[in-house]
Order: sequence, then C-alpha cells, then structure tokens
Amino acid sequence: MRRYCRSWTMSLILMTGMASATSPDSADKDLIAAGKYLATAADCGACHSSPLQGAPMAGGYGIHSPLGTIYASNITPSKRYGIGDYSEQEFARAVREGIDKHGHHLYPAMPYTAYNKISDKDIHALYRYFMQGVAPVDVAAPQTHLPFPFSIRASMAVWNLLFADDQRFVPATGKSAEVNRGDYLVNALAHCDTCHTPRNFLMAQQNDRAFSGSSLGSWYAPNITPAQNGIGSWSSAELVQYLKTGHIAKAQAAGPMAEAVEHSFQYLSDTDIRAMVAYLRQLPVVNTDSARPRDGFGQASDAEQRLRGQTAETDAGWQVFSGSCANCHQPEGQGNTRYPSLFHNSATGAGQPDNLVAAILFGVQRTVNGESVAMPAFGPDADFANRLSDRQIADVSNYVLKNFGNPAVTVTAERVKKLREGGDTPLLIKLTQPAVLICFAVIIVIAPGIFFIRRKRRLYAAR
Amino acid sequence: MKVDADVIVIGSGVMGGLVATQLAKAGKSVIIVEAGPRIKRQDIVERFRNSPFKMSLTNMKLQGVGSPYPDLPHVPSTYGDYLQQSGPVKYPTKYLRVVGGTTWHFGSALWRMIPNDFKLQSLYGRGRDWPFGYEELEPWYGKAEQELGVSGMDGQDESGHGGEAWPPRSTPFPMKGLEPSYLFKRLSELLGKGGYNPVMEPNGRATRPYGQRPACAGNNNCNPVCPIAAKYDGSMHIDEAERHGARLLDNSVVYKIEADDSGKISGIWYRKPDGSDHHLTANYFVLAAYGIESPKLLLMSSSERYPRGVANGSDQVGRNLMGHTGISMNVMMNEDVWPGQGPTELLVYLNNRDGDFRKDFPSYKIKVRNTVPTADYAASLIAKGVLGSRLDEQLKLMSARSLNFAIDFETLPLAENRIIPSKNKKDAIGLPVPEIYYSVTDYWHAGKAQGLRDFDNFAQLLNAKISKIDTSYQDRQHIMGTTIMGDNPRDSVVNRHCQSHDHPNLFIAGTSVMPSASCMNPTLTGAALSLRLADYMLKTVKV
Amino acid sequence: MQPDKLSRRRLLKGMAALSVSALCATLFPGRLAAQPVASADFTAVSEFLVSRAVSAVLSKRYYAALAHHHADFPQRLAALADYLRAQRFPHVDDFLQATAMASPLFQTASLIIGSWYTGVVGDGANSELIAYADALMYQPTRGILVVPTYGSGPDSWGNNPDTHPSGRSV
Repeated sequence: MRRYCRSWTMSLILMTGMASATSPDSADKDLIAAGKYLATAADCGACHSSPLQGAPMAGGYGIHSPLGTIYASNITPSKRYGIGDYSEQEFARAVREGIDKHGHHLYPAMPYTAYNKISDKDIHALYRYFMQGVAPVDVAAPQTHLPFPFSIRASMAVWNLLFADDQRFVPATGKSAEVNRGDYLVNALAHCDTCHTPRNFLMAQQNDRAFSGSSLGSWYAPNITPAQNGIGSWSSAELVQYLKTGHIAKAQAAGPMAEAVEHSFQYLSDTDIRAMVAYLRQLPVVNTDSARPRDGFGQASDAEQRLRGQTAETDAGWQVFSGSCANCHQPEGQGNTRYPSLFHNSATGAGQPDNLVAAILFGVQRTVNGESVAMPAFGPDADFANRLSDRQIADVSNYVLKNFGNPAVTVTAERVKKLREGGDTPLLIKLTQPAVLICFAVIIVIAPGIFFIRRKRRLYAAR
Repeated sequence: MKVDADVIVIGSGVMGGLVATQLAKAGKSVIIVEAGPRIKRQDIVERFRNSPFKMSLTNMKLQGVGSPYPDLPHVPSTYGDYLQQSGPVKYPTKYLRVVGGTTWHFGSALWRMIPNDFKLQSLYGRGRDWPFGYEELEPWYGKAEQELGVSGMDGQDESGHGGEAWPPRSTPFPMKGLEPSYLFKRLSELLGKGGYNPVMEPNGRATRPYGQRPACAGNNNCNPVCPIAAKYDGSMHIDEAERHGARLLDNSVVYKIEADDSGKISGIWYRKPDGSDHHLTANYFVLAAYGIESPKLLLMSSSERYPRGVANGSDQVGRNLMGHTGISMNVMMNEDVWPGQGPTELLVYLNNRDGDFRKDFPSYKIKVRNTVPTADYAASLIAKGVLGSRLDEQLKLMSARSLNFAIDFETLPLAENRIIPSKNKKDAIGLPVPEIYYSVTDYWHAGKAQGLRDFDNFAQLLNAKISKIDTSYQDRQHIMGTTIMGDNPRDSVVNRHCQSHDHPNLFIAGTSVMPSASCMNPTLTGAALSLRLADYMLKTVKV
Repeated sequence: MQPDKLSRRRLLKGMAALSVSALCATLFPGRLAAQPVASADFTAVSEFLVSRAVSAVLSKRYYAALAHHHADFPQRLAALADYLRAQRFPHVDDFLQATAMASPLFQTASLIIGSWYTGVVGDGANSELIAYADALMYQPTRGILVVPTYGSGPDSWGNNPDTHPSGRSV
C-alpha cells in the first residue's frame, strides 16, 4: 500500500515537474536562459554530456583520470536517474561542496573546489536551468568504481578538509569591475585553474604558482600568467580571438582546450571574454622554462631543397614530415591561410613537447561557428595506412622541434609511448599501486611484527 | 570437419573489404587473402614526388614508369608489361594489387546506374538486361554511399536532361557536394548556352570530417594518391574488417580454387613471394580480385572434373569484358579558367546518357579533367626553344587555358572480348599473366561520331581552339562483365545474388558481375552489389 | 631580389675565378682551356637565365647533377659564362634573341633552364629528380594553383583567381 501510494505520489510530482518544465513564464524564461549561459561558462556539458550521442547532461561520459575512469552522472531532471528530486540546497551542496543528495562524496574530477565560489544568485539560475531548461533523460549513467584506496569516497572528506575552501567569490578590492568579473568567470565558472595550475603530491592545486602550467594526461595546459613564455607576449586582441575561435596565427587550441572553446568559450559574450582576458593579464607573473615567448622560435626549413630526390638515407624525421605533414603544413613548414605555420607556433616552441606529440597522436578537432577544423590523428586510432609508429612520431617531432620549434626540447620513442598511453602517472597513483601498498603493509605491519616476535624469543631465550 | 575460417575473401580491395567487414561484424571468422603488400600512404606520396616522371591516369604517356605503387616480382605492376594484349583494340587497364586495391588511385567518382541501364536489351535491343531492376539495388546504393562516405549534390537530374532529380533515392547523400571551382562554374555558364546540362559528380571525397577522414583540401592529386586520406580507399574497410576480427594475409597470391566432387568449393592454394605454397579451407568463399584477376583465377583452377576452370559451366568466365573505351579533346580557351583547383574531377555532361538513341549509339559521359600537366607543358615548351620570359608567360597561359575533355562510352558484352591466362608468359612466381582480347563494334563508332560532334559544339561554345583530338580507344580502367550475372546458368557465371551457378558456396563480389556497363564508373554499383551479397550470405544462406 | 642582369658583383667574382684559371691555362698549357669553374659561376649564370634569385642549396645540387650527367658540362658552362660576360645582355630575352637555337650556347642555356624548371636532370632511365615543389615550372602559377599533393585547404577554391585571389567562394 505504501509503495503504491509512493509511486502514485511520485507520478503526480513527476507530472507536475514536467508540467512546469513545459510552460515557464517570461521571468522564468530569462532566469533559465541566464542559467544556461552560466552552465555554458562552467562547461557542465563537457563532462556531463556524452560526446558520442548521449542526450545533453545525461552523463555516461567516462573521464579517464590517472586514478581510473570516473563517469559523469546524469544531471538531467530525471527523478529516478538524475537530479530531478534535488532541492536547490542539495543542488548547491553538490556543485559547491562535492557532496550529493545521499551524502556521498564526489571525486574532484567534478571541479567543486572552483564552483564553490559561485554566488547564490547564480546557483539559483543554474538550478532553475537544470530543472526546467534540460530535458529529463530516464537512463542511468554507469557507476564509478575506482580502485582501492580511491574507492573509499569518505577519504574525500579528508582531502576536502586539506584543500577545499568553503567560500563564495569575493571581489578583490582595488580592482576594476571588469577584472573582478573576469576573476569570477575564470575561477568560479570556467575553472581554468583546474587545468592550468600545477598540482601537488596529493593532486591538489599549488595556488602559489597559480596558472603557471600543468600536465593534463597526454596534453599540457600551458603557463597563462603574463610571463614571457606565458601570455606576456600576447596582445589582448590575440587572447580574445584565441578564446572565441580557438586559433590565432601563433596558437591553436587542441585536445581539452579545443573542447573548452567549442563547448564553452565560443558562446560567451564579448564583454565576458574581455573580462577574462583583463583578469589573466594582471595575474602575478610566474616564470617557468625560458624567458623566450613560445612563439618566438623557428623559421622556414630548407630541408626540401636539400633532401628532395636524395636516394641515400636521409633525415628520418624529414621523411615523415614530408610524407605525412607537408601535405597540409607545406614543404617549408610555413602553412598557409588555412593551415598553421609550424614555426612561430606556441605548440612547437613550448618548453615541453607534450602538445606537439599529442596533436600528432590524436589530431586536432574543433568546430566553431559551424566550421570544422580537423587535423587527422596519426597515432593508435589512425588507419594502418596513415598510422605512425612511436619511433616515427619521435623522429618527426624532433625534426619539427629542431627546425621550427624549441631546439632544446627533444622527444624519445618512450616518451611518445607514455603520452600515447595517457601521460605521466602522478606520484600519488604510483604510491598507491597494489605492489607499493603491499610494501607499505610489510614495512608498517609485518616488519615491526617480526621485530616483536624476535624480541620475545630473545627475551624468552634469555630467561 | 574443421576449416580455417567461416569465409575466405580473395582480394582486399573495396569489394572484399566491404564483404569482409559485414561478415566480421556479424561474428563470422574471416580470412582475407591479398596478393600484394600493405602500403603506407606517405610512402606512395613520397615516391610520387621523387619520381622524375609524374604519371597519373590523366597523364599517361610513358608506359611502365612512374607509378608510385609497388612493382614486385610476385605482383608485377599493371603499369608495366604485365598485361598481354591480343586483340584489335588494346585494353591497357591499370589496377593495383595492394591491400586496399585499385581505389587507392581511382578518381573516386561514385555514381549510381539509372533504371534504364538495367534494361538495355528490352528497351534498346542491345547487350543484356540485368536479372533485376534499379529498385532492387536502390537501398544498397544508399548503404554503399554511407559506407564509402559519398559527397554529392541532392536534386540533380543524373540522366542529363536538366529535369527533376533522377534516379529516385530513398536517402540523401551522406555529405553535401564539393564546391565547384571557378573552372566548373565558368564552363557550366558557357556550355549551358548550348543546352548542355551541368552535372556534378557524386564522389568519395569527404566535404567534412567523416570518420577518420578530413575534408578534401584541394591537393589535386586524387590520382595517383590522396595525400591526406580525404578520398575513400579500400584499405579503410580492410582496417575496419580487422577491427572486427577479420584476419588479413598479405603478399599471398591465390592461384587455385579447389572444388570437390559434390561441387562445393573446399579450399584455396596461395603462393608466397618465396615460392612456397599454402592451403586454406573454409565453408564459404568470396572472390573479389577485380575483373581481370578474378576470372583468371577461376580459369587457372582447372582440374579433371572442371577442365574449363571453376564456376565455368557456362564458358562465360573471362568473357564479356567491358570497359568505358573513350576519346578525348584538348582545347585552348581564350580566357583564363584555371583547371587544377580543388578535386581533379567534378563536372560532367550527360546529355546523351539516356534515351531512345541507345538503340543506335551508346550512352556516354563527357567530363573535363581538372588537372594541369605542368611537367608536360614545361618539357614541350623547352624542347621548342621557348625560354626566358616567354617560358613563364606560356606556362601560365597554358595552365590557365588548356583543357582536356574526355568521353566515356558504354560498351557491350561480347563473348569474344575476354581475358584468359596466358599460354606462354608467366610472372616471377610461375603464374600465367593475363592475356586480353578486346574490340569495339560499330555501336561504339556510332557513339564516337556523336561524341566528336559534341566536341565541336564545346569548342564553339567555349570560343576555344581545338589543339588535339585523340580517338585511339582510350581505356578508363573500369573493368566489368568477366563473371557476368544472369538467371540462366548456361549464359552467366553468377545468379542474381552474385552466387556461382555451379558452386553455391562461392560468391563473386565486384564489377565483374555486371551484365551492362552504362557509361558510369562502376565502383558504387559493385559496392552496392557487395553489400547486398554479404547480407544474402548472412540472412539467407546463413553462413 | 630579382636580378635580371648578371649582377656585377657576381660577375666580378666569377671573373676572378676565371682569370685565375685562365692564367693557369697559360702557365700550364697542358691543361684544358676552359677549367671546371666553381658553382658560384653556375649560380650567377642560372640567375641570369631564369630571371630570379635561386637557392644556393639547389644550385650546388643542380651543378653537381649536371656535371655528373654531362661530362663536358663544366666546359659548356664556362663557354656560356664567357659569352654572357662578353655580350653583357641586359636580360635573358636579349640573349635568346641574339643566339641561334642550334648553337651550343643556346643548347647549354636550355639545358640549365630545363633543369631548374623541371627539377630533373638527365634523360630516360637515367633521370634524376632534384626538386619537386621547388621546380621553377610551378612559379608562374604560384598563389593560384597548388603544387599537386600540397593542399590549399578545405573550400579554398570557387572564386575567379584573376579577380578574387583569396580563393574562397564569395
């Protein structure tokens, strides 16, 4: 009887919920639109919309973190499989504190440490958008099961105590409204720091070196402080265009940044983009790598003149370059109006080759304003006829770095393999590998145990 | 009895690739046996660039040199003297024995046939009817277009009359058509004044990222090779088949298909480059080695029980060889039109593609080559002593104004036009090379006369000067008819399901089954038939 | 920098080299009258013949290939260089007009120009490719036509190149 009553009540609520989803009044419509804009700025869809064919916000997208695959949840207003029965407070707690309706901790793949700063007003708009502006999808997203010890969600409580704030955004005194707006966009919504700020041993952000660059799996989120090899040599116009379109002459957004441009930044207003740029330009400079701008390297290569038609063994890197890359990037690496030049290019001139190698491995895909940009992948996903081996990718990367990029940077086949497999394993993971845990267990438990047993025996023998 | 695989597919071109993929996806164990090697795109591109002779199908002067594809002792290049000619008209076709097959170098024109193409005999008293009509093949054309990634302009009248959309389609093109270059736009304008209706060719060049393929970027080198893999080639399906569990044996030249006394195909023999012979068995076999090697293999597979070769109860194997024998014209325009931008082909004229005239002369297509043979121009100018600033001027002028128009004529299935294994010449691993007898009839010559009239009209409408007319029976590398399809086992090799009349567990995939040639590039038709036969194998035969 | 005259500085350099070798020839009459000249002279002559600055890298390669394929090439080059120096043509067109096509000088010029333009030295089965994208035959249409295999980009055609050089359809 109770069960029957409950399901009947549920259907009533569901119907009411659906009814309200179908006919908001105009003030409502504005609020929902504001919520949608905020959700775009915060790029909820980047994780919560599956790129393959899922409905928006229905989850199911597996985020390949170094700890394992974390599945984004269904955040449509489905009562059964989504957040349809979340109150606004519960919604706020999930978004800002990383704790769901049932008290379970979310993994910080959900950037709640950033969203913590979102204002009450914006949380309200986001809530209304998710409840009324998104279609409910009654499909369960897969559960996340991380390996021990990360399967213990409660451990997030300790991590949060150490590293998570619980504070709304407070505008900085003495800074302009534009800079403060940019601060809010960058830190509360777009959570740029979660990629661009380096992390410590426990994988928390090193905020004293904020925005100075960090590895992100196979890719590298560069230094975006006004350092020389950060954005110091970029004009505001260049930064604005880069964020809005994903490319300028000297830089092309690829990998995760291409996704950010495609799903989020291309939709933000010009005012907001300019505010973000204004904020970034006044960040404290954090110097990393060289003092030379990343786009300050290289020149057109004369390799085509020297090596074309040579039957003897020539530069292995050039051979790959000529057969696989020059078709678009042109024989001297100079590109044209549609393909980037490889010299004076921020990816080839960087202090680490990660983005160069990742672009070759995985390609570049970016659709902005309906126009698709596509550099094919030459790594494991490529067809046999086009695929390059780790050795070939190392060779061509070294050719590109030496001729067009930062000649101090080199690439080995082993490094290509590492990047191909998802990048460096964070120390935390290395130390929590079963083998390592067993060693710890031995050291912590068994060794002292042996010591005490021996001591007992000696004492016994001594008696 | 244990077999090596559920299905053996002979040939790893587009047809074998499509069939293998469908079967592998359905969980069947598949072995694909390919005579030639795997190739890497960048190697072919570089070999092309490094060759002192820049040869392509649109620019074939020197025989035997310049093809960037492998020329190996166990798979000698068809660009050399591998094919023997014994008839009054040469049939110098060019196919590629590599993993992925001939689509590596094809122009990627992917046309459907139109309904009347299936009824040449009953409508026009010529050639043969197909055992079924366009409607039967229509859904398979749609599937083939999806599989190959075809870009095309919806709504065109592909019968050439400038009318309503034709043929009827149940699905739109998977991708919108390529933007016509200035050349195509200008020609359309000028020739339109003479009633010539422009038609843009549906083709296998992506116009947006499609799977792994980027959009066509105007590298203008479709033949011999697309450097960026925007153009479809068969290796893409071989990769997909392998991803679904199919196994590929490369550098394995099948030389014998064995049939047992009950008529069942029991196995194949293949030879490796080192001369060693190997045997494989399966329950079903799909022969997909294109129109010269497939019949050659069947004819080589003779035995006491099958003295005329396997699947040849009709004595039609190797016969009915058809092509799109053609003519061409070079003109010099009086204005700059700039061929060489974008894809190497797109615009065609089909005013004589279909109509009652097919009783008297064949269907034909007129196309314009969108390539610039700069090396030829430079060589001929320099040989004539044109140097200095005149050399630059003339190079620019010829590049901007010299055009090549070509006509492809439908040809008829004649029993005497055939390929047989050579009786006196063998390749390096001891297998007979193909010997081809080919000829054309008055029907073709009547077509030629019509075509020449069109050429004259073109020159007038374009205000262009004709610099050359070539009527020397040009080959277009479209091989059809040599394992012809029909309802009657006495005059056909396969039935309407592309299944051998004589051996129910043998299927033939590709253009060699086509009973009529139309004037259109046959790849899409072969692909549609291949998908259809794979479906038949799975759903009806229950492989 | 597009010299259409054989630049004086280059000529002087070449002359110096020639003078020394000429001197040597007088002192050592046993030696050949026209010495194999340094490829600096080849560059100067080439630039005059093709009316463009040429790549130093390619110049070396073409010279070596031509000397390899034609045993008498150094002498032919020297003879042509002497002739050009003596006649002081302002432009290659003037040289072409003044010289009979059948003459060895014209033939040498044609050989050099042919190599630079086609990117190929030698004949038939002995042909050697030195340049492809850099072959000068692609220069007159540069910016309008691609060198085949190198793409201009998706949708980069459609306009009349003579009136809308950007390429993309308006």
